[in-house]
Amino acid sequence: MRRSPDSIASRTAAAIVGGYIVANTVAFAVAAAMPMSEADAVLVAMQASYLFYAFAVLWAFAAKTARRAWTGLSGTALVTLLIWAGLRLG
Amino acid sequence: MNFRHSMTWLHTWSGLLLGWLLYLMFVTGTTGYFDVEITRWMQPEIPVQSEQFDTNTLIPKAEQRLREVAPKAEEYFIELPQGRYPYFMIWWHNPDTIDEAGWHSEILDPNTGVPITARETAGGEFLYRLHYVLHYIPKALAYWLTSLAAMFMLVALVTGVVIHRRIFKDFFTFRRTKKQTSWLDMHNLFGVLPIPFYLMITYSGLILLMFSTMLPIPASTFGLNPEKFKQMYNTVFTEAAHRDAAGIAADSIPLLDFYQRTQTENKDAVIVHIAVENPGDKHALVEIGIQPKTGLDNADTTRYQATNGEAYPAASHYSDGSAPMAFYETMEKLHEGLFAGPLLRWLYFLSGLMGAAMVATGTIFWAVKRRYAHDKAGIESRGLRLVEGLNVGIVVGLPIAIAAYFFANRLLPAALESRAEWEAHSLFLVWFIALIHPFVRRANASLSSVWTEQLSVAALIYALIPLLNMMTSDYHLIKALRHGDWVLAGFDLFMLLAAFCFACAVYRVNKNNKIDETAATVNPTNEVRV
Amino acid sequence: MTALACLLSLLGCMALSLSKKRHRKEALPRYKNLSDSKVRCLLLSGFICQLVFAAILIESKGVALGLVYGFGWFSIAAFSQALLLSFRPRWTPPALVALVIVAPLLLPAS
Repeated sequence: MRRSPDSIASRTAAAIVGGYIVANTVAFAVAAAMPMSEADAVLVAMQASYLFYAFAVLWAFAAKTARRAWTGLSGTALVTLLIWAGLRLG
Repeated sequence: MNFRHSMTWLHTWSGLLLGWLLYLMFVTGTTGYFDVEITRWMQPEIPVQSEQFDTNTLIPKAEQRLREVAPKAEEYFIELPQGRYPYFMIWWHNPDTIDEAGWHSEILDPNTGVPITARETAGGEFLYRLHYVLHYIPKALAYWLTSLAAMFMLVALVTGVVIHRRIFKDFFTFRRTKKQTSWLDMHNLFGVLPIPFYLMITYSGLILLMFSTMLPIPASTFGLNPEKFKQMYNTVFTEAAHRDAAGIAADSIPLLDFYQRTQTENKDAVIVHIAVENPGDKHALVEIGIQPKTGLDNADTTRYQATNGEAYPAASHYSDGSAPMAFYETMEKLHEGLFAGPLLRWLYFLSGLMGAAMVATGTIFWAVKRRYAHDKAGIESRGLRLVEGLNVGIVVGLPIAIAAYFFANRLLPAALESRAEWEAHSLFLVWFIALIHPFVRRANASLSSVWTEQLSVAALIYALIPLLNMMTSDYHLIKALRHGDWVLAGFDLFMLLAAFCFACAVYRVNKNNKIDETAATVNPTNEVRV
Repeated sequence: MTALACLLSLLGCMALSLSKKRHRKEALPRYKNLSDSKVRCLLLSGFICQLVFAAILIESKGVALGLVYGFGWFSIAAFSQALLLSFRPRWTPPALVALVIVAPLLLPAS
């Protein structure tokens, strides 16, 4: 069990910080997309956000390289932010 | 590095890094399931309660007392010591316009209805609040830290399931005799069986703090205007709709009448509270709370008009029409377990302790495994010594500190200024000593001796608590048992049980020690297979 | 009825544990080699016991409370079975018999 992943520091940053960002951006998109009252949509998004966070953390460490971890997370954040912006402005 | 290896690594470190904070959260949160009962023990001025609570005399007395002390109150409660709550108490809320605004309370003797002055105490509520408010740091910081710990726990849970390849094969396995594997087996046993509980408690815990940790999300919809956010917050967390006072004084039917009426209408109902809104007013409402038999609510309530006894419709909640809010409230109720009857509450308590045991066996297993590998390779590690020392100081030290907290409750003078704060300080002072002890002793003693010493102290200090109770209170174990006051008796009995468990642990550590020593002499190159 | 359900869950845990060769070796050494179909039988009966147990609880206490009690009792049952297998594996057969005997006594008097 001595095996540890490469670039631990980078992955940890991706997991904790990147994960928090992704959890929020995905939740933004969910809140904007849900066909219910704004308050209810926000409640759904907030409650689900921790699930997104958990997946992001697992991804940060399961990805083949640290760079892939960051790319995956930033990509997801960007896409969901665009979706959110689109839904809010549209 | 493949998926399983990375998940194993992640499980180990997400568990270890905040493991000790999680242990604190599990232990103190678990005591919270009996917080009111603990507070009751910490107020020994309260007399033992006889089996029968004489509602006919005591309810009018409580109502009379409320009229005396709360003439201008806009709301008051009578808590009856039937059902979960072990107090006979009156509460009242004065409007913000008068001098003594806010909530006040008074404890009444459950046998005579006379007001009692009990010592100021931090109570069981302090222990319960420790698990998410921590201490000595700002509340907001504590919310972030405990949420972070809960997030690490969630990751540890998910990765734990993913990596436990033999989760079904090993479901009923506990190999007692092999040292390393038995710690891992214990960790698996404590970790696997209550998984539904852990998932629920971790996720609901995260959700309960979501209005502190996930604020960007409402901001993304409502903008950065604090007013709009407050509006949303107030909409979803509706207070039960109050009926406005008419401003006209009117007489109301005695509360005992409402009580007896509920009793006749509902034969086996256990009535736990009587509340009055706008007492003395024409629009006053009386609410009777009954302990529910099914469902997750605290109390089933019915409301009546105080002046003529007519039924009044129940208050509506936002969650009645909102599934997301209903989900939130369900998670909240499951987490807090306030709905639970005695049997279920002990189940909650046991599950919480298993959570603490899961974390503790995890950190201990890690240290044991590392120690074995280091001994074999002949290397010494400061980091490992730190972990080993902290393991003792936290896993045993925290329970010792909690027992010391109970001692402080009885030994600190009743009239001491900021008594409650000093009770809290005592807990941390003793804990500090317990944390230093392993490092001071390691110079001369083995790790096992350090464990034995602290476990012995724990066994002793818990065994002494019923004795302490006997010496510092008129109402002790024997009296409680004779009167059938199981709340009071239960506390002392549990302390004895805890002492017994710690004593058993001392025995086991010594026995394992002897096995290790014999094994070392018989076969110096003993291999332990993981 | 709840008591009977809990007993059923205990029996189920016994059956589930005995479907594994490792536990059969200690508890019922004579049956350590069992055909695949018999093992599947044990597994199935174990699961069915748990399902019936859950159904009874949900029926009497509603979904939310029933599941809470269900998971709670199941954890206890599984834990005690693990302890039984660890400390006194040979007591498993008599324990099984005892549970089967007590079961009909717990049937609600109709």
